[in-house]
Parts: sequence; structure tokens; C-alpha cells
Amino acid sequence: MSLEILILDDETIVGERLQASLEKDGHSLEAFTSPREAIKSLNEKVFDIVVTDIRMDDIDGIKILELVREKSPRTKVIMITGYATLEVARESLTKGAFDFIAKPFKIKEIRGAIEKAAHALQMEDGG
Amino acid sequence: MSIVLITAPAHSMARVLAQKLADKTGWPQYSRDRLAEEAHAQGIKLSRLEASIIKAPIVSEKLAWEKEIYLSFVTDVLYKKIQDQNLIYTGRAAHLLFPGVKNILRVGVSVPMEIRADIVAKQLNLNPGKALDYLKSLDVDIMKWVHYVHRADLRDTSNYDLQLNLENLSLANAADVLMQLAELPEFHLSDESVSHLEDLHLAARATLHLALNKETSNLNLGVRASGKVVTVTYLPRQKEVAESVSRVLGTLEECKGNVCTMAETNILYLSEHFDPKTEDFNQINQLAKRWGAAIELIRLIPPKDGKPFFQEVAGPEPRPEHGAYTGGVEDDGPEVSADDGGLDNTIEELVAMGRSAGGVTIAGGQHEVIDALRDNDNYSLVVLGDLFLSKGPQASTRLTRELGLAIHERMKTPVIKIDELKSQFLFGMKQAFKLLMFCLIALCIYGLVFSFQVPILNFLGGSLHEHWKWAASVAVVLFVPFVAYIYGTISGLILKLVNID
Repeated sequence: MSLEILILDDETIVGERLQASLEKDGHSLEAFTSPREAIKSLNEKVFDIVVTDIRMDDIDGIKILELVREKSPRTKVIMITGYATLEVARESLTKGAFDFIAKPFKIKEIRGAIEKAAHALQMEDGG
Repeated sequence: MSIVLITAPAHSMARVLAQKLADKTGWPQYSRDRLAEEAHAQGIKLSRLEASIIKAPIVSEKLAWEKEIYLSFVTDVLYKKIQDQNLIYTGRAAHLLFPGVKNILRVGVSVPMEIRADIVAKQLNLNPGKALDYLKSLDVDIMKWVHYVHRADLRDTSNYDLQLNLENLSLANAADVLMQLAELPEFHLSDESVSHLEDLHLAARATLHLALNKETSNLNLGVRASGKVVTVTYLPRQKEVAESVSRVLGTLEECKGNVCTMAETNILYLSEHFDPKTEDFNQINQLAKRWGAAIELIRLIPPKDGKPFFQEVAGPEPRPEHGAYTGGVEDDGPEVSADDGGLDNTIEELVAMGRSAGGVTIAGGQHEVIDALRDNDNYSLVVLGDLFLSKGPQASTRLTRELGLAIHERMKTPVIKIDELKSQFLFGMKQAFKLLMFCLIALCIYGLVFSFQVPILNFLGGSLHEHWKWAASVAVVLFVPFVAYIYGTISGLILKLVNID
């Protein structure tokens, strides 16, 4: 299943590494380092999955999560952060995040989360 | 001259309370939020630890060492924050820090859920229902965290000196209560407490020093310190690293010396399959708990394609070297075999209980096992589980027996089969019944002896003895060992019952 995925992390290398790996799996990726640019894209297009960092200077990942949930409840949001705490993880999940991954992570972890999200989307779309 | 450790639930008013106490006393104040920030900045893998609580399974051998590093970091940072022997610290399990150090005021704070829910609803912009759900889930997560990191129950009141309910008490008055209590002589650090703190700090520094050194970063070690001497305990399978540990600790400042010792009491459990939910595992675990022993697992499987191999269960991940920055997105490691016979799960269970001595998979036979054990001689017991299953029941029994004899010959350690464990070391229903029967036999013997003293004495030294001298000797020779056997069995079972082997 080919998915439309948006990746938002203020570190360029994160988008680059994820893009290189996930495009091999047949997904279509758009990577952003600026939350504002990402929001612009989110307003224009519906993504299947959004992978967002939590701690960013301008707008944090929780705000992105809230925005995505409001605009497209179908979209699955996967939160990634190098500053994970139980409080932040629970807040993300309570606000509707699909998964929460702490940095550093192996590529197979995010691939696994995307597979689970794809399965959930398939189920919601009626098989 | 006091250290006040305040444990409070998330989103309570504990930090305000700590600030009020700091304002009244002039003592330095520090919170877990700031400590967590510092940990992240210093490269401590706190994120992984925290996220592991949310995602099951929460434990693994890889994270066990990370946990020790985190706790050492906390000890190191807080020790440095103490000024003139004063510090106020608030955190999710603050009262469990500096374990064993006396004269520290350990306080628990409770705040009604409704008040916390109001705070959360405002702070996180949640509706009241969601705020309550969030808090309930978070409280469960924090309980799990405390259980995993500190091996303690947050609700255990014996770990607190004082518990404050802030439902009716104002924060200002609560701070007054804490200040007055902290000024009592019982909460002034004695020389003994200061010395204990110094030992904990040296052990923490040594752990961090080992964790940050390339040679020793991926080892799972036990570190403690006393009188400026650091003692490091390593697992039998890490024997070759003792020299590196000693060399690395040689560069640690303010450390007079170091001693490296192998973990002393271990139970080695060999089997083809492991399952932490079985009665066998439960029995070995009971015995390990009683002995304070760690359990090492060897999964013995037939050689693959006729070739023997040896594979250790992954230990802590090596820390990344400088220059290899990946933004936290790491390449996948080597694929691990999907079917590990339950080894990983069982080790995770043992790690959670603090009893893991690691594990290996050996594909081969008796020779490969003996080779793997060649330099290890510190096992208290070797337990043989289900082995050589592909060979059929009779050959399996014979090969298991031969392996047991070979291990005993090599290591001079008791070797038993798993089904003998209970009868030899543990006390169950069967043993209770046996104890009852033997007690009844002993009572009958005493009853008979005291009821028939005259004929017995007559038989042993009276008129009957005159006629049947040899019969008395034979009776004594047979009767005394019989009574000794009854007594010995009763004593052995009672000792088992009270957990003394």
C-alpha cells in the first residue's frame, strides 16, 4: 500500500534519512524542517500519515497534532522526539496521536509504526 | 543543613511548595523537569527509558544498563547541587533517591484528582473528561516507571518520613511544616550519612565513567563504592573485560582503587525452550530469590546445517561515537532470529526482577556447552531442563544425564534436572504431606517407647536380654538409623519450609 507521508523535523538529516528509507517501501514522502511550511502543505493536501518532531522552535509538534486531528481526523500522526517524557507521551496519545517514538530510534521502528498505521487506515476505509 | 526530597504526582502544586520552602529557608531547589532537560542535553538515553514504559514490553537487558546510567546521572547531578549540605528536590520518585542514606527528609505529597484535573485542563487545553483520562493513564505510567527504575511501590508508606495531603492545607503552611521538620536534629546529615552520600556519588561517577568509555560502554555492570574504593561486579560471561574495567577506572578522579569481581552466586539453567509463565521458571526463580542469585540461561539447540554456533543475547547497545551524527535515526542492526525459544522474553522477565545474568544460544552438544563454560566456576547450581528433544525420549534422557555428569565433572557444581528442583530445594504440598507423615511416625515411636518402657528396658537390659542378647543388639542397630532418618527428614523439611538450605 503506497501512502502519502509528511515528515516534519527541524533537523534536515532526519527527513533525509527517513525519506531515503521509506521511499524504498513505495511511499510518497514530503519532508519539512519548517513547521509553517508543513502547515501550508497540510492545508493544501490530505496526507495518510504525518510524522512530526515534538520540540521545535517555532511551533511545537503537539500543535501540529491538534491541527491535523482537526483538519483530517483520518490522518495518522506519529510523534517523534529526543526529549520524551511520560507526560509528553501521554499528552500526545490523549490528543489523538497514533504512535509515539523516542529518539534515537532504528528505521525499522518507524517502518513498523507506519505499517500499523497503514493497517488501521485500511480497516477504517473498509478493508 | 538538610536534604528534603519531595515526591509528588504530576501536575500537582509540588514545585510551588518546593519554591515556598526554598524562599523560607534559602536552600537550593531543583526539580525533575530541569534534571530531565540536563539528562537529555548530556546524551543520557532518558527518552528511550521513558517511552519504554508506554510501550510493552517495558524492560530489556539493553535498557537495564541505561537505567543504571540514568540513576547514576541523577545521583551525580543532585550531589553537585547540594550546597552546605542543603537541597530541596521534587520529582516523581524523589523519596527513593540516595537509597539507604539516613537523615534525609523524604516527603510524599498528595493532591486530590479534581484539583489536578483542573490544572491539567488549563495547562494542556483539554476538556475535563480528557484531563481526567490523561491523569489516570499518567499515574499508571508513573507507577510502572517507579517499579521499573527503583523497584519500589510508590504507595509504600514505609519509604516516606511524612505524607502531606494538600487538599485542605495551604502551600504556605505546608512549607512551614516541612521547614520545621527539616530543622529537627533527626534530619541533619550526620558524618555517617555524609560518608554514605560520598560513596553513592563515587559509585555514580564510576558508572558514568565506565558508560562513557568506548571500551566498557556496552557492559552491564554492578558498581558500588566504599571508602573511595570502587567495586565492580561483572557477569561470568564478561570475564575477559575485567582488565578493561580496571584500566578505565584507573583514570577516575578521587578513586583510591578498584576491585573487579565476578557475580558470585548464579544458577545456570539449560533448556531448549524457555517460558517465563511456566511452573519450572517459577520454581527456579523462587530458589534464586531465596539465594539472592542471578539466573543465567543457555538455550541448547541442535547444530544448524551440522554446524555448531554460539550466540549471546544482545546486551546494552554501544554508545554512538562522535562524528556519526544521525539525528536520532539509526540504521537497523543485524536481524535477530525470530524463533529464539522464548529466550528473549525470559531474559526480559529476569531483567525486570533484577535477576538476569544474561543468556546465550548454543547450537551443538555436550562439547560446545563444556567449551562455553570452560572458565566459569561460580555457579551454585546447574539446572537441566528439556534438552535434546529431537532425539526421542530415551536418547534425550540419556544425553541429558551424560551432559549433567560432564558439567558436574568439569565444574564440581551440583547438577539437577528441573523436575527434581522442587523435591530437593523447595517446599510444596508434597513436602508438606511428607512432613506431616514423618511427624506422625516420630510421634508414634515416642508414644510406643514411653508407653512400653518396662518391656523395652527388659528387652535391652533385663531378663529378656539375658535370653536374647543378640536380638537387642540387632534391634538397636536397625532402630537407631531408622529414627535418625525420620529426624533428619523432618529437620530437612522444616529448614526448607523456613527457607534455609
